[in-house]
Amino acid sequence: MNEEELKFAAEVCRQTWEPLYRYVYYKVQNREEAEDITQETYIRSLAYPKFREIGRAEYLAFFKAVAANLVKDRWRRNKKRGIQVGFDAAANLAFTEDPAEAVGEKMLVEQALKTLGAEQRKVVELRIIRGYSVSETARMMGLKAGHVRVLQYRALKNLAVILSKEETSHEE
Amino acid sequence: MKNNVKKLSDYIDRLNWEKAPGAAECGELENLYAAVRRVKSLKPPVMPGADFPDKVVQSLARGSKRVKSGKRLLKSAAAAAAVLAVALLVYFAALKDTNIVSAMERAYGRVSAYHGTLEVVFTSGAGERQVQSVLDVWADKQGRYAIGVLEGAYQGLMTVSDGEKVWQSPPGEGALMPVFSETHEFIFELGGEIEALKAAQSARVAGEETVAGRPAYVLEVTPQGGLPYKLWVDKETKIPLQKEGAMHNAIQYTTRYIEITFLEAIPDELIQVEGKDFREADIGEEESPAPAGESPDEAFEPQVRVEVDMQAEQAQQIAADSGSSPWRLDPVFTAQVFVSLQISPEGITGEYPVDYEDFTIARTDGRRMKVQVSSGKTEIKAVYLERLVRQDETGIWTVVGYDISR
Repeated sequence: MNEEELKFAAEVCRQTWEPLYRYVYYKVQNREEAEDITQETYIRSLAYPKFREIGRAEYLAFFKAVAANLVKDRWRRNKKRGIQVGFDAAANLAFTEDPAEAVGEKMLVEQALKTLGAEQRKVVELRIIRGYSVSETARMMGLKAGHVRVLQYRALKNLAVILSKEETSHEE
Repeated sequence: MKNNVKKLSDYIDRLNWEKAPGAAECGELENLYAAVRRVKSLKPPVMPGADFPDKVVQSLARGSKRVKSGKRLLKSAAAAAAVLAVALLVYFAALKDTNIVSAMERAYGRVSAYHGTLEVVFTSGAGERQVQSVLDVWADKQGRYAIGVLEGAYQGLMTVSDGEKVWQSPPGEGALMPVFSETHEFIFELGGEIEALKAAQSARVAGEETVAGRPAYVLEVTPQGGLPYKLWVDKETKIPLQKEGAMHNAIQYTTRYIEITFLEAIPDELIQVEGKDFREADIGEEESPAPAGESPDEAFEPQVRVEVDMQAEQAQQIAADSGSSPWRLDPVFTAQVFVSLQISPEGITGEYPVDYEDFTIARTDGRRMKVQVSSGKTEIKAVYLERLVRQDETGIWTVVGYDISR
């Protein structure tokens, strides 16, 4: 990158990093990956030859589309296919975020948690929302560590089923 | 299934530590991992350090080489990592203590304000743990704070301080309502914790544990006066996350930040109480000099001295530090209890025989105090108190003597 390109990149990065990072974090739910993917998104996007053809107002949408592909790629079990960033698709993608959708997702998850039994709900709350370790959770619930692991496994299995049913009913 | 139970648990741990988890190895784990992420998304994101955008720009300038965490590089040499980890731990423990304390001080030096969720956990002598309250805490370095009770007996109570005065809403009547266990005082204020650590008799790194998903050092601290306590310090940020007081009278309190975010400032409207339904609390304690012609020492010399059990007082101090027995921080109330027990040595049931209003502070130098008693129900005319264990505003008051009417 020459000096002019770097100045441009720094400006774009400083203007967009926070909403981009939040978006990536929302997807991956950990800081390490969120930082890595955010960085990689800039590196790949700014190296895209047609990047400057994108309207300034569309930068964030473009970055989000690229980041979404990078996240998907990490989750793919078979990595032999290589990374598919999909720049052209990203550039043509009208990437809009619906705030009502985010609120709806939150309500959906909260509703699904309410349908779990008290013990399963408690273990999910302590382990994931409050972030306690298995041994801390076991101590708080008066259970053995092994029991906590099995309980959280069953709770999340139930939750995955409930969430997929809820989604289907919403789509219908 | 057994394998997936373990893998799922490891996945949750990795996310709680804010570390990249591995990819799912089968369809079932893929669904379970997605459910975990969706539940965790109910929490706000953990943001990177303020230097993150600079790091990104630097990596762009260096020719698109991503800045990778040192930890990942070490992963390729697991044995070396293990040796290094042990060496670092020994190094840290050997350099004691002043190192971690000064690292904490430096880290806190960069903090202007913070917003956190603080959990107060009560543990009984039988080992039963119970979350007593969950608090929404906003605080800054000017001593201003706003604390809302999210869960607990006083749910909805808001306590606000501008650094000098304290207000509560809803206002209620009588004494201030407790926020921390039995006290309205902000007992796990980060700056205060670091100051207490600097002033402590000793502090040593006793190990490492995870608190609310964050790897932390465990410090064993012996304060100047009072019983030892434990402090968990975030390994990465060097900020105190959790404090566990000693078990006293079969009661132990643990306070911990389950979430914390650092801010440039706390919103002014949180501290603004004008026009809102708040009541100001009278918590001040003015220093009053000895009368003319009387030396300061004479002014605090009682006719009758009271024998003091210093060991019991030190235990009372730690109880007060943990939020228990806060009345010992109030000299007038301490005097009232003392006088009432002289009238009813078998114990007080119902109302105190002498009213709180019958006691007035005659003089104090901040460390010693004389409280005048004006009641026909007792021959005691004045009670003398001292902060024997700790001589600052967090020190408890102890009755050391009294005057009787001739």
